[in-house]
Amino acid sequence: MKHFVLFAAAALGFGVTAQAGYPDASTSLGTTRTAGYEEIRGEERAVVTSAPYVPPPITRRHATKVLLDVEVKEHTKLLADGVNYTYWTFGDDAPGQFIRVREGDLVQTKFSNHPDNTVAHNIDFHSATGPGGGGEASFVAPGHSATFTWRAMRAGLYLYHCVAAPAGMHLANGMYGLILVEPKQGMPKVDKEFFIVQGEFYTNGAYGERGNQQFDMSKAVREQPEYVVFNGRVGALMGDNALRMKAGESVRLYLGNAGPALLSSFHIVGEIFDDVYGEGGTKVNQQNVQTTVVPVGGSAMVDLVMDVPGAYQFVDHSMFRAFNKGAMGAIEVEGAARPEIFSGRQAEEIFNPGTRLQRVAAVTTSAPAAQAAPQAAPQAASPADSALTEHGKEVYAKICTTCHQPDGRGMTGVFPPLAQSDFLMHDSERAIRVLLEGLQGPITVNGQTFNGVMPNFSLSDKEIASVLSYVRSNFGNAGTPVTPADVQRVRTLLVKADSGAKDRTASDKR
Amino acid sequence: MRHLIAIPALLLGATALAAEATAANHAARACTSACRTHEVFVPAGVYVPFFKSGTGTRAVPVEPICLNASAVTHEEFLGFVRDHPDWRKSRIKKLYAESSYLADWQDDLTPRPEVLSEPVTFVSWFAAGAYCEASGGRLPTVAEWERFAGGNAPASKPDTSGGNAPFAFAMGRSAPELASTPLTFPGVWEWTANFNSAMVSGRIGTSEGANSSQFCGDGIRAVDPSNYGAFLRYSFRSSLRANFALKNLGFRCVREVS
Repeated sequence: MKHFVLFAAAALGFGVTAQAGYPDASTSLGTTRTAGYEEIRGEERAVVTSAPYVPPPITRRHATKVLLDVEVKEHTKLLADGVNYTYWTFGDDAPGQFIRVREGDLVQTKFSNHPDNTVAHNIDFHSATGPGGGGEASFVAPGHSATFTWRAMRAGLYLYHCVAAPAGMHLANGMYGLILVEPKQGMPKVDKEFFIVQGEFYTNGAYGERGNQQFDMSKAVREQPEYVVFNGRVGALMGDNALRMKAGESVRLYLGNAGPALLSSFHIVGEIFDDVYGEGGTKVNQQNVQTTVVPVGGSAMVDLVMDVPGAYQFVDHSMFRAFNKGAMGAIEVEGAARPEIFSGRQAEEIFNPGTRLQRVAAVTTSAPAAQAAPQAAPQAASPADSALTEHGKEVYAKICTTCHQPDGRGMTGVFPPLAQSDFLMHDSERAIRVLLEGLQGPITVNGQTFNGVMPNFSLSDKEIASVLSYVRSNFGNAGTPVTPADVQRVRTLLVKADSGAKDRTASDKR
Repeated sequence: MRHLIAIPALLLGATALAAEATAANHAARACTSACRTHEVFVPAGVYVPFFKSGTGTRAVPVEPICLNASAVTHEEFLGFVRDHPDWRKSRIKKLYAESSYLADWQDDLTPRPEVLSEPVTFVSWFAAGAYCEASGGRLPTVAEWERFAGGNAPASKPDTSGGNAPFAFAMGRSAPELASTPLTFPGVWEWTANFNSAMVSGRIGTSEGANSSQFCGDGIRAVDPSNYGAFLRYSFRSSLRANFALKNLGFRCVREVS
């Protein structure tokens, strides 16, 4: 990232139009359509970067011959914690590297299929004008290379991908990336640029199922992916990998959607796109946009200023994909608070219009029984405990981070912290109950009041024991492990209490 | 495939069917005994091409053959180059193999000892054909190969190897009558005699003008467009040229039953 900033500074000196504001909606970035072609002067290696970074703006004032090497690899990588998948990738990763060329450039592409690979591959540049976008020209067996040259006739943001049969499988195994054909006069300057490509994975096992997963043909044909992710895997842009910027900085996101099945409704929770270059074309065709469509096999560019500091999540707003299939990422914005734009929570009080809360009665009934039950004696950590904690870490990453955050600190006023949490650590049985039943209504955690809803996630005894053991021994907490037997005991108590409560309700009526 | 075999059965009377089956069994026994110990007998049958031709889908009759039960090994190929010096890596004509021919052999007569019993790879179509001819056979045709090896593994079968081979996905016994044969499918692709006769081109598009009998990568012309294993096999074959010598490409031979 550092080098990018340097390059950007250099670009400024070279006179890329540094506009204070943004072009108005009618401004075209000016694809000129001339009969002749711009003269090609010199040659240079293509400038490429790995996700999520974008090469610096092109400062060249002339067209050149760009030498681009693309190598295909087939290799096993992590799709999610504990989940292995055999990716087919351009370069090392899905998505492949971001390529930045200038309108008018001649791109000489050397396409290589690694000898260890097992199937034939090729590359189709949506930015190329000609049959197959290069698919046929580049189609080669493992251990072979092919070279072809195409002219970047039209500026815009384009997908490139493998189109060898069966093309859907090559896409679903990770063979895609983005190429920006920058307009001759450059793009309006922004402070930061990142790229994000949405893609799907069709594993034989269900979402989160551990071990080596294989491509599932029938799920693919039915267009029912187990995973919908940004930049190739679950969590590629979360936690330590979140995009980072400072409040007040402008950012351009280069968005692609490799599919191969699902349209993306790209949305940043708590932000509005100032300018949208719809479908990755060169014209700002809409302003003040909440959610933009990124078509399959297409792209979009969005410019915005992140005004207010904080943690922002971006999603495919087809929300089950975000919550259950991995389509989520984060932007961390640093800076001083901006109360004139967004206050944060100003007041908090009890709202009770008089509902009947039967569940509360049930839980209260269970309390004496719980006290009577023998407490597990504290034990030193055993290998079984560490396996439990390890599993708990995965459960946490999969289910809890969305609200409680990867660092367990929650979100002020919205999601209570688990880190050094008195509520969590005071009573392990209560924690088990919360995971079994969910929790609704006001609670006080570390002196702060929260009034939200945590659903019951239908976890197994082992999953609950694992995740509680994990959170009770991490994030600055030092508690004893919780065993599946503990969870089972509480589960049994709750069932008894529940049926007891029902019996009483029935007898009351009598 | 199955229903095509069933249709003639329906047309025949029960008695005729029994007579037919008995005759076929006799023939099969006779032929089976004609196959050598490392071979399995593949009875006559039909193959339905994966790509439709201009006149629609037509089943192709396939003659009975004796088939190598597994792919040719390094050890077997070593025996061949001992007897046929022209096919050693230092002597092979450039026309017959690219420079990667037997790339993993230390020299003309020294394959890596640890892979002696594993399938030989880095062999060209010319070399594979010469081997088969020397052993009294030939390379299988696409129709024959697809018939005995073009079965897909079940989509739900987990890949426990953790490797990156799609072979388990794309290869397996296909003809039902071979269900109990001791056929093995190693983790490599295999050469066929007419590997470039049905094209899956590298692009989506319409058929390629003058080569209208060749076929493109789109699913429209496939008999079963959800058969991704078949697409992988045809796609791979169509990327080949006869002098190619690849790490993941071996071969086995067939012999015609006299």
